[in-house]
Amino acid sequence: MPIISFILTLFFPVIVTTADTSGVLHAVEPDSVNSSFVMGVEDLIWQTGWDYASIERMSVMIHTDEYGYYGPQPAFVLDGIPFEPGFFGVHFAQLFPLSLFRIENLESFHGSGIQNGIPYQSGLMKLQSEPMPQGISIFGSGQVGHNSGEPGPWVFAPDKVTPNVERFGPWLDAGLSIRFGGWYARGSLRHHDYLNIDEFIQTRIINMRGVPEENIWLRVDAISTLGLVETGYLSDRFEVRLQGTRSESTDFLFFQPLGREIPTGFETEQYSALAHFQITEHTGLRALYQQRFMATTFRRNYFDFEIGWESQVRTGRGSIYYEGNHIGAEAGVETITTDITGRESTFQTVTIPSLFLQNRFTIHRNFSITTENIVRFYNNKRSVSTSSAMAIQPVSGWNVQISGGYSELLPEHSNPLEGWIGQGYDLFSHLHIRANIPGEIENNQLADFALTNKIKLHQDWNLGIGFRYFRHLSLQIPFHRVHYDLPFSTQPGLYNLYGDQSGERFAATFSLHHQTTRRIRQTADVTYRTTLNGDTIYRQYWEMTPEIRVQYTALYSPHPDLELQLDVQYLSERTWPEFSRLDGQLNRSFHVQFPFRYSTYSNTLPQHLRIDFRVSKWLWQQRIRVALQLKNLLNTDYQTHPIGVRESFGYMSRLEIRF
Amino acid sequence: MKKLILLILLPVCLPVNDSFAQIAFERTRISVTGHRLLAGNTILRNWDAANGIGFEVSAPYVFGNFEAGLRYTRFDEFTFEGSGFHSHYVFAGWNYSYIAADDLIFTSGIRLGNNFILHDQDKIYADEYRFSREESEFSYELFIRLQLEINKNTEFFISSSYNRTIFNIPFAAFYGTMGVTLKFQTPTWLKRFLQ
Repeated sequence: MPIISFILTLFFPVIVTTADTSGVLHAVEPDSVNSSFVMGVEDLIWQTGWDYASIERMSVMIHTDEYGYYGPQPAFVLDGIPFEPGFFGVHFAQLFPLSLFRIENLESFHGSGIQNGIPYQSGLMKLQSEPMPQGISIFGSGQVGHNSGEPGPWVFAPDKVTPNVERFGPWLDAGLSIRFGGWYARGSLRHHDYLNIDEFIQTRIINMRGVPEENIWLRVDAISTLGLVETGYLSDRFEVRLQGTRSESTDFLFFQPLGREIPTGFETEQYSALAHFQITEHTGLRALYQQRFMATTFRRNYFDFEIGWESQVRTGRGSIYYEGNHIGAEAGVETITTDITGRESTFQTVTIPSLFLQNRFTIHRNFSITTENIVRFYNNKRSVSTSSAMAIQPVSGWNVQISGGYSELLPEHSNPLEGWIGQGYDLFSHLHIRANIPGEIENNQLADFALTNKIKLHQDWNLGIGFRYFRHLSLQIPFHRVHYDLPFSTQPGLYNLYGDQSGERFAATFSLHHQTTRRIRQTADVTYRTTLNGDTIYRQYWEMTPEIRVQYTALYSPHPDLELQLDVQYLSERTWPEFSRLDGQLNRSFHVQFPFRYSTYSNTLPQHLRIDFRVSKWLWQQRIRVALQLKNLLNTDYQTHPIGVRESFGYMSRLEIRF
Repeated sequence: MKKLILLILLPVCLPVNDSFAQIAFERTRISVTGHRLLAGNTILRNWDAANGIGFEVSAPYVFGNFEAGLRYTRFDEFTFEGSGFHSHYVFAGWNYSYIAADDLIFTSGIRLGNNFILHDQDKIYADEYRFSREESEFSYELFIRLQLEINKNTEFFISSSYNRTIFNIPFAAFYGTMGVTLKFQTPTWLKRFLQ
């Protein structure tokens, strides 16, 4: 398929592609988000087909089928403007620039490709905010929740007293928007507080913030404040957006090379200008300029660890597209310039220009070909991503897509941290991490092939059957087998970047979707993934992925102002080889006041079944909405990360007001 | 917890039939209640519940009724000085009524809410570990109720409920409740708010 793609590109550089309907090679079904039930970042991940691991429920590491947990993470886009809600591959709900309940639509795209003029290399989560009404409108929301297991009256019984449990919130969001005709302006402010005292990880968390010599035990909560201002003009043929965001946080960042969290602060600042001009009925221009500043700040901790990292990224992008009935094309150029400072060392400025071209050629209304090609350059190196898809409709109600591709990633994209370490960033020695990093890091190389069927079984029933084959020709895998340590869970072992790992993976997905008018919508999907063969580290790396994932979601709306939703998820057993030395080791609660509670670590996360139930009700002609989520109804004692929280029954409630 | 799951799933599994439909929030019921804790688990070894009072409001929805309310109970300590507490159960729920006889209505339902507890004192261990007087925890309740219609606008009822607050050591209790309900046409402003 890559060959076909190249040939088509070479011989039909102008005639091939599309604009707004393009980028379907690796798409998951676009979905309107039921925003009343998006209570955290994991609720968004649920809809994307990716997996996640979370240490403390507020941040996630996303697992993509292409690069796993430690590869490059998906890109995030809100209303066409890219944003980065995390640091070092960990994404925080509180760093999303919009209130989660104001997300109108979510689309996710897997692998590498081009979507509406945005080239991506490891997936894309594309969010669209609620449309702004004409005139002046305001909104506000408050969200709180916690897990079950408060001590209650037993705080007075010395032999039965237990610590307070984890508290989520208050999470306060507020905003104002003004729209007159095509012109609009909006601003919002988000403030999040999270008390990080999960019993399973409190020993580590509290010890990290403690200075026993001075008898100081510092706060263990995570606090974040984020502001956004935006203005622009929207019309049928013209779109301009100017946006600025700024955030400050104190948090705990899970840092894989250390094998645990580092208490740290975050600062982000981003300024963006986006334009889209539709020149004629079929042609248009897109342009983006963005300047993003991100930094970690010192948060006092037992070891006085400080990441000391600052990043200044300037992105410029422009593309032109043609969208006809039979052919379409979008061609563009992008330049990303990155300046990094690490613990007072300034590294070489990295400027990566790239060219991209997307084509669609509709031969017949039942047969079309789409190709996407991206070439990136840095110094004397380059990376190429190319993919092609054939969409066929053999009979009415049966759509088949056959796609294949080959993609490369420059090490500046796939393993930037190791590159900075190689240039003199002394973070590893500061954190007492012994590391083994090759002097020359190769490009990641991946070939994949997919077959997707969508079958309309009945008026209300749709069946999806998909198969995907991945061949990793060269995968650079960071691997850190940590040591056990009771007060801090882990101590760093030897951090290795294993280069040139190769192997093959296979994935199959079956999904069934049923929707009747407005009342009932239900989706069930089963995903099976396995490693066919590969190098030893390659095989171990993918053991962290659940082989079987089953998800079921039923939305029932008996009346337009009431919604009930049931979510069920089953994940099969998975193993994190990096934490094998913790397997069977002791863990205990921290507070000496309370009877210690003992548990043992396990680097194998057993299979689990999770059931969530949610209900929301509109009030006052859709000005007020209350939403309640009951999490983990079975009170299953499960984890998504070997040193992460143990889930238990909990709830989350939110009140939204809009005028 | 399994009971809670079954009860939550019950409305999801109910057939969607327009014959259930009724005009949402057409009438409002306001009840004043008195209750007594009839039985409970280990918590009653250390605390003694007094009789309590409550307030409930409910209105018909598409099928069944929405309700919300507050129930107050005072618990005096047998042991642990200063550990007496005021319990405020704030809830929202759904119930369904069956006409058992001309004037007799049988209702069953589920309530989800929070049990807010206010102790008489803070608890401090070793001058260092301070527990605030205020505690709260998720609490659910299942209930059945017999309503006797006195006239078009007034009812008398008795009910029994099983309440469980999911503290680390769960607090489970059976309550017996009686009360008087006033029924009236929902004011337009209130109906608009609820819709």
